[in-house]
Amino acid sequence: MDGPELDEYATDLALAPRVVGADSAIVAAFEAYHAEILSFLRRATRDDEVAEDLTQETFLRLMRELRQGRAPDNTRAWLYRVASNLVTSRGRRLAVATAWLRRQVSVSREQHGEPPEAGVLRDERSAELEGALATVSSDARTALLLSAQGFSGPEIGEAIGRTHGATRSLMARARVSLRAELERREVRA
Amino acid sequence: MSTIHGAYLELAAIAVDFDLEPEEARTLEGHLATCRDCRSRAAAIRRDAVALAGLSVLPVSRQTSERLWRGVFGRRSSLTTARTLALAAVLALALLGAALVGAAVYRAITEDLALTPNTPPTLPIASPDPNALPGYALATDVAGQPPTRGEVVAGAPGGFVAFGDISCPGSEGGAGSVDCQQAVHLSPDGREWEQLTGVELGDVRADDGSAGVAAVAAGPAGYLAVGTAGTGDGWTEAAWFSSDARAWTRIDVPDTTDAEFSDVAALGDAWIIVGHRTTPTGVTHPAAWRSDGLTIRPSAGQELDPGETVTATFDHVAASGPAIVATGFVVTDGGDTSVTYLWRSSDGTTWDSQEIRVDPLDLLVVAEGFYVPGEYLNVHARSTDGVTWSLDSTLGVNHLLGVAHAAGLWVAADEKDGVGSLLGSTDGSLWRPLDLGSVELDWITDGVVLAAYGDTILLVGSGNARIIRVEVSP
Repeated sequence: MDGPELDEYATDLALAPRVVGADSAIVAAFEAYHAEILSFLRRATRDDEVAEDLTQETFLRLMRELRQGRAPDNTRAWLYRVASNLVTSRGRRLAVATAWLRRQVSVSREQHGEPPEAGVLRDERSAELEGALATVSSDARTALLLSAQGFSGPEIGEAIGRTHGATRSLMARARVSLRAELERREVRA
Repeated sequence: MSTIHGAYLELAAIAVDFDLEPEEARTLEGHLATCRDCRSRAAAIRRDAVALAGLSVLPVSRQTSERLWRGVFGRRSSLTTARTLALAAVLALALLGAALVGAAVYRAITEDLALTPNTPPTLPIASPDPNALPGYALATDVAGQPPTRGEVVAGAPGGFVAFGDISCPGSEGGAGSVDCQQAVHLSPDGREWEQLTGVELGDVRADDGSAGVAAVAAGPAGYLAVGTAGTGDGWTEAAWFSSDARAWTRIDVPDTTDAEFSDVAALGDAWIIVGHRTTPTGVTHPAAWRSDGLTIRPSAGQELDPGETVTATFDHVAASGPAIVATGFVVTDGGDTSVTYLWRSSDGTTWDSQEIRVDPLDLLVVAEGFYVPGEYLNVHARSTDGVTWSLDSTLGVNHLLGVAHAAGLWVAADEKDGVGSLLGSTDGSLWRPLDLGSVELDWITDGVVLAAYGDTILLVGSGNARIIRVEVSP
């Protein structure tokens, strides 16, 4: 049997308000944030497939929270926290550190600096920033991207599972390293 | 850059995300006041932070969004469907004023959206036309002595069998209070009820309502009910057998310390009982038992849960053809993550598991297949063999309270914002409100149990003495 045809849905006007109102929390969250969470995870992981997997897992966790009656106070912040936690957990599970990073950095910008669906990045400055961002460690990159989304240092530490001191050190070195990489690129240009 | 300057730059970088200690701030300011290069680099670091915040969200293609949606919800996107329905609703108003113009606009909108229909259900359905519910009538009249509180209602050969509270002498009479005895009630049609006398289920209900019959299943050999029984000093898992639903015999149950029966399903001339058991080390895992109506013995192995699992349970069980299916939960990550699972077995001993993205309210056998209605999120799962499952959207439902199916009509009790409603469907996917007439529904949000037998679907209140019959006219 074929699924209901479009007209059967569209003309079922009696159902429309009910359907539109249903699933509001998870649907609204998905609709509002999936693009930016995916974008965040693409930049954090430098891997489109992994980013999609982690985005999916992030929203599945939100679904479980909601169905257990634990609606986050701030859905967006909650999604970022979970997403970044997934990135760092994944990194640790895979013993990412150096080997993984080196592999990621060595991947051409054609593949990751310009994600297939991203098209041309907004401008050259953004492209340089994306490229430089790829040279810092996964955890550091995640932390910087969380900061870019307005999270404070202590919030970032909580999200990536590091102590206050470790987060301070990680982010400071990442920012200095990022600056140095951008300067190297400016010199080369 | 020297190490000394590097240390100051790190302080400047820290200041982007953290408040510096007063001493750190003074040190940094002092150095920046005397080091032009560091001042410039510190400013650049702050500009980098601003630039990072200004990075645009990377574009996401429709295909990627759809893929993510399916990954999360296990179905094709209903976002677009919902949008279409919203558009259609708006369009309806337009049609009131300008039918012809509205129709043209409607065609333009829907053609432009070019939606993909939802994933087809895998089971045959009663009618391909969601607009044509079978005829039905709702009734609330009952006769005899119906259950005042339907804990368990099962459609069975010959009619309905219900386990419910009867009078609670010496108490305030509240259902679920101490001294409330459960009794068996029978009805051939859901209207005429008979309360069986002389049936000793031997249970005294706990204050929290945890004791009592939890489930009953009918098979060719008779009926098996499972649950918890006790005398006030403690409760234990219990099972009762009846060949005719009238004379019930309590069965000896093996040691079920730290175990709990959740559900039972008929399996040929036998039954399979599912639940969970907690080991002395505190690990709770799914457990199954088999019964022939005379005895009960453990069935499933005790290592069904993955190594990381701290808690896993069987909640529901159903059998169809050669397949036994159970739903349950696995809690991992130190209790942080609860994942819904389906288990499939051909013998009740060896089980294969798979994660399923449905929040199972129940597990039904329909049209020789399995149907798992989701309590929330408008998703349900179907399978003909218990191995391959398809997820599909459940349109029109908010918070599902119960589902039953009879004679081509699916009936769902639903709740939204504390208000109950009854919905009908021909396929278990697309639901529409039933015409209630004068039937009042304000009680169903307190709890309702649904059961089907023949052409009748019964809704029995689990919190009060209310019954609704939905009689289907095939």
